[in-house]
Amino acid sequence: MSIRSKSMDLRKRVLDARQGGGTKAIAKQVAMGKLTARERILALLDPDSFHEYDLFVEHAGRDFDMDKKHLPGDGVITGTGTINGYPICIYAQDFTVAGGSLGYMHAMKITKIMDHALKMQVPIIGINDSGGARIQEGVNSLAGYGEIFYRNTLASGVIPQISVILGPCAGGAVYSPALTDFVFVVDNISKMFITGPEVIKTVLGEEISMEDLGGARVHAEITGNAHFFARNEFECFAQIKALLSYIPWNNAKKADKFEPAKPNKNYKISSILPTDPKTPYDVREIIRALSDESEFFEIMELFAPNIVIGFARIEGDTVGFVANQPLVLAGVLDVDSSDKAARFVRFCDAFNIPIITLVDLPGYLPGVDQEFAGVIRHGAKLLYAYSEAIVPKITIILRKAYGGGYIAMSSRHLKADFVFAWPTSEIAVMGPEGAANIIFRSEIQAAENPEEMRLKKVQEYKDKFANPYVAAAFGYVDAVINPAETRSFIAHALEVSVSKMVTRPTKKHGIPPF
Amino acid sequence: MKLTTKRSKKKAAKKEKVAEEQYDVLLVEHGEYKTRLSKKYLNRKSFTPLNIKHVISAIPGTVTKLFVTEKAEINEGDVILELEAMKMHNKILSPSSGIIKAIYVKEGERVPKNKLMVEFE
Repeated sequence: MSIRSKSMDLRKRVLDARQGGGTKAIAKQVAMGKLTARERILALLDPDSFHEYDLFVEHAGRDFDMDKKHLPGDGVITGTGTINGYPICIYAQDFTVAGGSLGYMHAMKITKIMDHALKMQVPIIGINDSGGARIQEGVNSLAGYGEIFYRNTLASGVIPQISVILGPCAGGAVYSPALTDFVFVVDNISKMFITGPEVIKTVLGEEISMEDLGGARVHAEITGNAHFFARNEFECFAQIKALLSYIPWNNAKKADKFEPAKPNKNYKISSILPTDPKTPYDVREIIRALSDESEFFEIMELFAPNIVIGFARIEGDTVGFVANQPLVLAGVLDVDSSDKAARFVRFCDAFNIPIITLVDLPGYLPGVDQEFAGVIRHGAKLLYAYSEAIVPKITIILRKAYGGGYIAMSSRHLKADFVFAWPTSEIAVMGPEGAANIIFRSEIQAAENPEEMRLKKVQEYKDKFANPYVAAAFGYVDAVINPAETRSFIAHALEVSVSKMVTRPTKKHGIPPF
Repeated sequence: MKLTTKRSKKKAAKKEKVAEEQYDVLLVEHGEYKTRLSKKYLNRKSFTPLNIKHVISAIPGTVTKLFVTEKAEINEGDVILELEAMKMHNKILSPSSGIIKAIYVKEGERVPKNKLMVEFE
């Protein structure tokens, strides 16, 4: 055989394998409103950058006549490529081949590319679209899942791990995304659950649709399993590209520096905050007023909206913002918001991204449901995450900072590096009403007109304590600054903390209140 | 590698809308705050104290056998019924001694979670 005919043979083999499950299965995939696995990779990566490996891997099923079946690529496409010139490893499950089911070799292809990502210190992106374990391969498919989870855990905090749910992802399969850093879902396409509607119906007799149980919106809004919600696959890919622009390749690098740029002039930082501490506003306006080009890349926008997290840039450098959102639930801390913020703080810390915390909260959300849901241990996560973080930590107290909420929001006491307060801030052990009611209880009760006395005492307390100067007198606040100075104070703080170094007691790892 | 979007205009329009909005009120430790209430907060379950005279199904399942009748006097720890759920035959024991006032389930009946099955006098 000449080299030419050998090349022709190779070409034929490649084209056959790239067909995946064939035209019929592809038509089915299209009818479900989904792109094929290969289309997804090509849409996400830079043109011509995708290089595929293990195209000719054969599945390892020997029972139930599986040995007579040919499954191209064993239902998963793996390879390397670039996104905006940023190197990544990627795998995409191919639903057209045996429903994207996970068999032994399918898992081996995934773990091989994961090992590669960890060795090369570049992010791994996994596109999930699979019916689950390949039942015919029995315990070998379980082994496959386990090998993936193990690598997810090893890679955690070393390289960014991104999961994209573009189809069903059920049973054990959901735990790989859950172990990764960012989960992307798309409306009407993503479905995630441990036990599906059918199992729930047979075992428990409860009826629920797949969308209501584990649709994209459920995970973006209620469970908090998803970090980004998109209306279609292309919007989802744009979100992934934007995310990668803010984060470094691995934990030994810093995020790429961009050209410094001023915030948009439409955001006037001095006029966003209402002076009445009980009037709401959108804290994202303040973040935009502080950020380069007023760009703020929000994460988990729909889940626990009483706290806002996301990335922005200041003088070209990526920073992570954590901010109480007075617009929703008065910006209180609760089970979900503590959880959301704590995980983000840990991500920033692992990947060398300085954390800027904007504080304006009245405290914790009262309620039996909160207590029963474990607000003690969930709230503790935030204390743990901030205390543990050794990246530069800059805190700006905008308005209210009462009680436990003050401590939790990256206070000086959890070793924030810089604590600035606006003149509008009220740093106190609790709100003026509550404090006055307790401290002046006997005077209020003894007064001829208790209500009048109460208001008088509340005002007295407000005048004396509802300001940043008491905390500043103890050095808990480094500087009281005007809103208009905030950006330059942050930029300077970032500049002088580039070589921050903290040593910690030797340990294998801490035991955070998971 | 610069990302540009046309956010500013859209956001300015949104800001005006916020200003017109009627806010809800949230009570937090002696202070009332104007704010929006999240869906999850509005859907939260209110607390109902446990009624010791009620035997409630902890999980959905099928009542396979009833061991008691109405007006029967039983002791704490006696088996009231058998509830098949999660592929297990669960014996539901009496939480206290007393007389059965009413039984709300039949043998073979599928019961949902949190259903009142038996009531004591």
